Amino acid sequence: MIVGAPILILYAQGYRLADIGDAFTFRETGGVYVAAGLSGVSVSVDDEARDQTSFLSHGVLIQNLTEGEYLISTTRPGYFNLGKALPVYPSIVTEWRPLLLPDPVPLREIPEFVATAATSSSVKVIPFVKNPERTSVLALFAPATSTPKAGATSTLVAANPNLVELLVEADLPSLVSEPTLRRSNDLIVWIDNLGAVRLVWLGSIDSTPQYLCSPTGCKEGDMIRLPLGVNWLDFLPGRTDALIAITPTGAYAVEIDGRGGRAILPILEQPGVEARVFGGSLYLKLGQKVWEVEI
Amino acid sequence: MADLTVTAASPIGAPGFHAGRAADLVAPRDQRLYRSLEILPGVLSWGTLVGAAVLAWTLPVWAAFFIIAFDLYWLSKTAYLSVHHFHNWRRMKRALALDWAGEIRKLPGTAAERFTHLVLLPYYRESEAVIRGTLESILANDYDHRKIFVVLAAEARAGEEFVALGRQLAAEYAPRLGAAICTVHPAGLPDEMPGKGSNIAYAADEARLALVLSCGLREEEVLVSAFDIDTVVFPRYFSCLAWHAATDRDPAAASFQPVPLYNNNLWDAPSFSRVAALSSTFWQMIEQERPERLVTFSSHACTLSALRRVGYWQRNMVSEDSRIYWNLFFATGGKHRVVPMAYPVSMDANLASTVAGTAANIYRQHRRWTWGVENVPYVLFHSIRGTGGVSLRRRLLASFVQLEGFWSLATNPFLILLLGWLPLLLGGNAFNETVLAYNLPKVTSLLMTLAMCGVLLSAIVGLSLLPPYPERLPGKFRRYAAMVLQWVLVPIHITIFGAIPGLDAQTRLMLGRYMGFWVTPKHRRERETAPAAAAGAVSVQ
Repeated sequence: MIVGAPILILYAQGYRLADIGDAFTFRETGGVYVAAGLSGVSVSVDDEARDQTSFLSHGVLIQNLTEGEYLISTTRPGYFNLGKALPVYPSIVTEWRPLLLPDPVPLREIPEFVATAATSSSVKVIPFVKNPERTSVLALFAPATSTPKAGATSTLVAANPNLVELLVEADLPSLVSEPTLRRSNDLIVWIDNLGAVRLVWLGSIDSTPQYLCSPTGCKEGDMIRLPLGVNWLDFLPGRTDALIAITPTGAYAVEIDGRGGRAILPILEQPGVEARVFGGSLYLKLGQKVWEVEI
Repeated sequence: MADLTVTAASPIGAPGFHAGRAADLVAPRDQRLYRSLEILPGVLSWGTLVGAAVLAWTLPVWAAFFIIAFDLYWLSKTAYLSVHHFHNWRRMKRALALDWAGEIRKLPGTAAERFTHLVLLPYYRESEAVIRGTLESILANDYDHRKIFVVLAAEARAGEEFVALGRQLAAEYAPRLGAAICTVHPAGLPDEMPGKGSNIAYAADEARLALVLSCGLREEEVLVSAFDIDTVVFPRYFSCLAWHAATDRDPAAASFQPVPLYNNNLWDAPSFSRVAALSSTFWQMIEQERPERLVTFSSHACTLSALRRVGYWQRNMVSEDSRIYWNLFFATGGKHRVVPMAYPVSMDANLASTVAGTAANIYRQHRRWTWGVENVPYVLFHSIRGTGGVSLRRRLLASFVQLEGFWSLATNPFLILLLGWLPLLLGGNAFNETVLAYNLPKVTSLLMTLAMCGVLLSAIVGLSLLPPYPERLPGKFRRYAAMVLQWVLVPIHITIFGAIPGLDAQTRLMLGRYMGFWVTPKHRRERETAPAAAAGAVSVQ
């Protein structure tokens, strides 16, 4: 017990016995935690397969990594392969929540008409009626729903006195003119006048997401640039660390975590596509076609 | 042999020798000391739990260190206790198989045959079936029946119906024993708390006058077994007890402790009641292997002379079974010992007419048992006062064992089940991103999984202690499987029926809300399950 406890405590802290030259010494290691959120995801470190998520554990902890940068990659059949170069620091676990989406992203078209179950007693016909689901989804795309979010901004500013300063630093005028302010808990995002995505963390420093931090400190916000700019954005349903961004070339899922490469995954690469998030679902519209994105 | 003379300078005359609570002491200074010692166990337990939470919040890294060290300690303790448990199981197997009467005959002269057994059976409103089961088991013993005196100790407050039942049964069984009488403990005697202690103290003195003196027996040769009314003795109990007394270097300075086996009605009891019952048995088995810290519990025996030395069991408290040991400990300058017999007596597992009622009864019974914490201020007080001239080492050891025991009971399950998560919940992001935070659940779960090996042993031993399967019950395989699987309930059991009632009792003592005696209802679904032990059915395979 007297011997075991210190050894166990050192081990739990990440200390490992290392062979340096002709002597053994303790070395403080770190780790990477991949929160895949799915089972059957293989995780590799520098192209070496290390572990796989399971039915019981949707995350993988890779330990015994000495300080440095590692290419962490995830693969799952039928899903986009992802990779990120993540820094590892002694005694710290670097966390990554990969944006695992099916490849291609499944879209369910919402037709204009749907068949009803009713049949005539004399003539066998299958009557079609207007699809009420489509009607309600189309309402989301009506111009009225895209009014500027000044009210929301005012509320945010009132609740967070230091926000004005942050927003001024982050190009406040563009905010007022754009209807793209979105908030998820303490994270707000919007599109600036150059078409770049700005994000600001409003919560306490202690609760800042790890992707905004390094051992030397945490940033208050970040900027995401996409090649042709972003026209519209929202948080991807079910995620606080990923966005759905509409660009001139289509709809994309964008990882907010910008460390070591950002995942930008195509959902529908078609110019003119529009998107809305409602009730935990993501809808796309292109011309007369409407889809629900099944992610 | 121990000196039986009680003089004015005897420890029995020391302040607070028969104190049940602080108010029983006369001197204000003594009262204050005793009261502060009553507060101590609760303060220690609550201080530990609150301190752990505060530590997890303010210094999560240090809290994590403490958790890992504590879990390692728990694993070591489990291994240590499991070794004792296994050893006592083997000893019990041997004890059950041994022909104790034959062993007695091997002793020189008539060393063991000189002992007469006086069996005290206190009851309140238990059924005739329960009392008969106990009496029949006594009759099934291989010891000379003429040397077994039975006292049915009735309570006047139970009502004339139950007094009459005791008298009827005493009259019925007397011809088949050395003697059987029914004593009636009057209600409302001064300086008494209604309960087992006051009843058996009264019954023992009545029996001394009515039986021991009239038969011209020597008090040091009368072995008094204080049972519960549902205590069913195994067939060689009295021979085994007599052998232990006869071979003891000073039987008048010893109490004899059988293993209380709560299995009379085990097949009828729900799973959590079975786990509670067997866990209690297992704890006593483990304690049997640690005589240096063994204290009398539940059914136990000692000589009449020893009882007389301290005025029998205390009448003004709940935990008379353990207090009698501490009375004798301080009365004899720390020389009194508890001799582990490793021989069982069987008693009832908790069983009410409903599952909820059973759970409530288990809780109340365990709270009464853990109210044994009332012995902590007694032991500490007399250790500080130096009552009886007990050596400093013995006093320190006794005080530590008592304090640590009740502290562990009330805090360890909480520390194991909850504390491991506290740093993760309260430690904040800075802690949660450390390798330590990620490894903490892994390390603790590994250690606790290893500790669960002790539970596996419990399952094996538990199966061996089962009474025969009552054929009236359907689903034999399912019920046997449940007897194994029930042990997954242990972590829940030690919290709900161990730590919580323990903390409840300590908090009551801390706040001066003293408990009274609560009579555990004895309920059996079928009478046939009662005398299983008496028939020798449980043989510890």
